Amino acid sequence: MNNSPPTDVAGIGTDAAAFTSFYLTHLELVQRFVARRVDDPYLAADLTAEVFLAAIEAASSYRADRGVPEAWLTGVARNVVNNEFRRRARERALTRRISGRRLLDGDSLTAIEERIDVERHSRQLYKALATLSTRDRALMELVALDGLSVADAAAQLGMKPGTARVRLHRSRARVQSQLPDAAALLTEVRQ
Amino acid sequence: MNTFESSLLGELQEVVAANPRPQTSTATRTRKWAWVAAPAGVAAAAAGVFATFALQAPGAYAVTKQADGVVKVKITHLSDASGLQKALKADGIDAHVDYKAGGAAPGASDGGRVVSGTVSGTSADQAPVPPGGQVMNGNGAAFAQTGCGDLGLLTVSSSEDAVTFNIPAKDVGKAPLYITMSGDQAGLRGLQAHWAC
Repeated sequence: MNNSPPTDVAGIGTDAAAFTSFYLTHLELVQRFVARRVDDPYLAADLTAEVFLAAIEAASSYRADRGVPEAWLTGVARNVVNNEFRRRARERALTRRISGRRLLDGDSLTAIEERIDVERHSRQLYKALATLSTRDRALMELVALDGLSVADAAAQLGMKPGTARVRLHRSRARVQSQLPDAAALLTEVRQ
Repeated sequence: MNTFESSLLGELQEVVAANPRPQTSTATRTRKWAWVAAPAGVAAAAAGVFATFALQAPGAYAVTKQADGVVKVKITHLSDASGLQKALKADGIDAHVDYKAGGAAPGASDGGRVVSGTVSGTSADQAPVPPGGQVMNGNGAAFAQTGCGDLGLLTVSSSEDAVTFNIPAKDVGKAPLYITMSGDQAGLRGLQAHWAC
């Protein structure tokens, strides 16, 4: 992924300086991740806050030998967004520790909307992945949508890289057979 | 950063600040800072580094492979040597980690000259400088020797609660890496990381 400076991930839960560095390095990653999945800027702002809160809580469980911080954070973000969708499906009242939308002003809102617009093709693909099994979908999301390496994505999901490659190959074929534009989307999304 | 991004950072920082700091153990030993360095002398180590270490921090280690291939090692506690060894091997480094407390410094048994001293005072000048090495004082103590082929120096540094060093991407997998504890009867201890070549 990108050439981010080394971050003391394990320390971000308790060390404000380490967290600030982590936040600045990964803010764009998180915001783009969210924009690939939701098209409501207010919800996007809330989820961005939720992802970082979850990262703060999970920091002590970060293990460097299981993958780079970007892969770890992508896994955290995926859980947060999936939980959000599940929570909404159950129509449960949402209580948030930090209301991201409360922090939005006009310019910030525009910036989020622009990011959401840029990611519209990704969201199409994200919806198209619904035809896959949970596990295959997770793998396709991390690799095709979020740009993780196959090895990093496999590590996140507890798969062997070889298995992941085979599954990805099958998933691509399946999505393409069901969605005529998928081939174009799959290549367009990751440039 | 726009308003949203900086406001969010502010609120998140408050959350982090409200979290309790990791517990620091109350070790009975009060002598904290010391190092024992083994100069090249005889066989093994040619590019090596030594750093001071406090034995009071909890946690164990973190091995991070950065995007540029550099492997960053951070040791916060001298426990779980095999875990650290495994983590390094997973990143392609043939590591041998030995945290035998109070053991003889490498080089002592095979005739190598052992230089030892305490780095707890204020003047770096008081600490013996090993051949080819450079010693800084107290926090940030670092030391390196040259002469291990084209293997790069391991730049080790110590802070109040951790010893860290980076393994350059070009050196990963080239030679065995030894990470050892060393000390003397009084329990003075140091951490040494060196290539065997």
